Amino acid sequence: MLQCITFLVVAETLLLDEKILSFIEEKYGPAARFRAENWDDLMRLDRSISEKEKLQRVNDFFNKSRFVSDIEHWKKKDYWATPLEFLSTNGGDCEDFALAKYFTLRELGVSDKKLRLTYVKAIRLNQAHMVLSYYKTPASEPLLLDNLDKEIRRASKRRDLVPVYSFNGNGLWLAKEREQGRLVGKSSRISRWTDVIKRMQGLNGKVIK
Amino acid sequence: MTLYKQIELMIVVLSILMFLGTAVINIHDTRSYLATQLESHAQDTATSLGLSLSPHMANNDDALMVSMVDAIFDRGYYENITLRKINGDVIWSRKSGKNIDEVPAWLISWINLEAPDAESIIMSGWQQAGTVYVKSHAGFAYRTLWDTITNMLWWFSGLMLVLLFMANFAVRLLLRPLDRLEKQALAVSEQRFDKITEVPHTRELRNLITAMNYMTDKVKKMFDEQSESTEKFRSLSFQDSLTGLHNRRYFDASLRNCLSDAEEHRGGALLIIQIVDLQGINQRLGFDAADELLKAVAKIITSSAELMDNTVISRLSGGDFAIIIEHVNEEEAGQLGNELCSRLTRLYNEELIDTKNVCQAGVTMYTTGMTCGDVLSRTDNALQASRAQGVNTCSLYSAPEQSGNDMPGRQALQGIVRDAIASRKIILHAQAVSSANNQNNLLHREVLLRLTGPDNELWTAGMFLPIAEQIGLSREIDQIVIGKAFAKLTQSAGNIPLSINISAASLHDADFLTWLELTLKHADIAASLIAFEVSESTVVRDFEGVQRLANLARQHGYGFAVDHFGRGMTSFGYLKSLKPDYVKIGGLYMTDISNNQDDQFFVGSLCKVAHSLDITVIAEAVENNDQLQVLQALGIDGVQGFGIARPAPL
Repeated sequence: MLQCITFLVVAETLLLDEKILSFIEEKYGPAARFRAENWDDLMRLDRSISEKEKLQRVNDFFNKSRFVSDIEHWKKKDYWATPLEFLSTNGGDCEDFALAKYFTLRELGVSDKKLRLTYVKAIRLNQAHMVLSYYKTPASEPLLLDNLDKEIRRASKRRDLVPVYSFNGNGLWLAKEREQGRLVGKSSRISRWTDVIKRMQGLNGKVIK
Repeated sequence: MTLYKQIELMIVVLSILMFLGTAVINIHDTRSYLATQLESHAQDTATSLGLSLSPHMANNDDALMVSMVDAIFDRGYYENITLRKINGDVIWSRKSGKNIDEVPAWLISWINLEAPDAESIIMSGWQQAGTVYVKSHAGFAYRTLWDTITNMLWWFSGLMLVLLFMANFAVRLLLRPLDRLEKQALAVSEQRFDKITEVPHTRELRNLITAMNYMTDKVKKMFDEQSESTEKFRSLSFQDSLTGLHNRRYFDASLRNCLSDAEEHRGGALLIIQIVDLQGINQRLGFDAADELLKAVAKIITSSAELMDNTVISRLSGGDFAIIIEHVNEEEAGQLGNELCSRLTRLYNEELIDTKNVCQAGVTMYTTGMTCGDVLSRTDNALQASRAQGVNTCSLYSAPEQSGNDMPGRQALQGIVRDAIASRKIILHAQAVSSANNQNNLLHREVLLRLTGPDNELWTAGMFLPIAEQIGLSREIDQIVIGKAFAKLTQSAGNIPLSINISAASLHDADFLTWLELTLKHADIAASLIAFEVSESTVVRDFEGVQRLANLARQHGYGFAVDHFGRGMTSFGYLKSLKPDYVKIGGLYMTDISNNQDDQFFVGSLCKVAHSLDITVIAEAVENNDQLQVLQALGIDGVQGFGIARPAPL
């Protein structure tokens, strides 16, 4: 039984193997592989470190990437890249930053209940934007992981952002996939998470493995 | 169970299975589709509610939030919408009953369709201020499912009806050849060799029909071959190859039969004509010319004698010809002898013979009961008298005094017979016919006729039937006999069947046939208890008449049989169309059967011909055990004769 659960956890992990790494190297070059390896290392961090520490590391890791709009980057108006695609191409828009952070934190053991993908309006840019919010408790004031302001800040400090609405990352990702016409079957929620993880491991909409 | 019913059942079972299979797949699909639909329905509602409630949450405007929830809940199709604060306190909750109209309870209990739920956050600024929980109502899904099922049921029922209708039609079309096959098989068993011309397309059926046709052909051929070889054998052993007349063997048998069978024969004349010095002619003119002469003689004799009924013309040997003329008197016989002599003399004019000294003839009268030797030696005496008298003459050897005087004269005889018929003084006797292998098993009894003579003596049929025939009263006799026989059977039920002989004269008498039909129709006896017999010579002379009788008998369930089977030189083809229930082989071939292998072979062949058509064969004139054993070995079915049972009053 225990073995079975362990196996299940392994199967749901985002950790990379040599096959993916060499594929990335072949397709995007050694720098991409290096970034992916770093991401893998990040996900292998000791889980006992504080959540604050985890937030810090993940936020810093991804905020090193460039901000590129979807049109420029993917030749599509609205493309949600997987973390691997994001890392491999070393760039993405606000959704890509928020999602990559979200999934990495989930991988590091941060509860889904504490993480929200929040649609906001960036006042200065006068643009729709997305950030990852961390709620220590449901009622507490969130910490925002943003790529515009590369530091983690409490929400009240971010006068430049107006919150619109927030979702749990898993459901949002699934809805997005559905909108893109991908098959999202399985009504049980556990198997859906597996499904999301599988996609996360993919590149260009394809699942490697 | 008929094939059609089985196919019908199969279609119903298959349709039901198909329906169930499709239903399961369809229900499963519909169910997961509806689940997905309900889920996004719940999620969309939760999201939009969460989004639109967020500003009012920030203002703590509960009243507004409640009415918004109400609006959504009332307009939509939800089981539950609950509004909570972030600490879990319920602000507002709406629930609807789970009951679902128009959907049977078994469906709900059978298919579990848990309506999905969804939850969304209500924000207050950056803060999560509450949650909204939405659960769709499963009723809509159940109703959709139920509609799907009922729709499918209708479609399948309709489809099944169409299928059944088509199957009905197709099966009938397919099985039509089998119907015809059945009829053909029955026809073959009744010896009608019809072939099926309409060959079906279905391969198995086509093979079957072809095989059946082949078999029909074979059976027909077997019969034809058998009867052909029997006919051939008969002509070899009973016919004179040169003239086509009967030969000595047949003559001997016929004469013996005439002298011994009192049921049919009374007496008559034997006329022998000798060509003078045939050996000399052979030497002078050569064998070919002599043969031509003999053929010419045969032709002349045949043409003269054919004018009289019941004659047997044979070439005995060399230039000796014999004519048995039944039921004639001295005067007529002598007349025929003289006429033949004078006609044969003309052969000299035709240069077929080189001398005017052509022939001599002798006639003698015989009566039933005399011996063959007796009759032949009397004829010899007559011939010697002719020789003494001079060439080309005919002498008569008169019948012995006692027998001649016993019988009244012709006029008197006719009077007696006429009176007897008028007063219905005909008495029925019967002779039993038993199974050849078990003489205790009676097949039927043949009705024989007796007439009380002037001195209260009994006359056998042979004594008065020819007279009745001459004066045209055969039909009356037949009617009397049939009437009496039927009456007899009515009196004593559960009897052994009777066979009744029908005269040739009756058959082309329309009144008789009408009378017979009425009698048969209204008879209150079991039809199987009566069979009608006609003589083979009647079949030859009046085939249509016999066929009418046979059909009439059959139609009412009576039996039909042919007497004197194989006596004449006719082909056996008539058996196929008449299909008698049994045939009787007359005494002609029986007298010598225990010694003569040719007779045995011939009777055996007759049996096979009849048996190939499923016709029972009965041998008449069986007098002793030797005959019986030979006949048993030859495969005869029934036996009749003094050796089996003597005629007795019915």
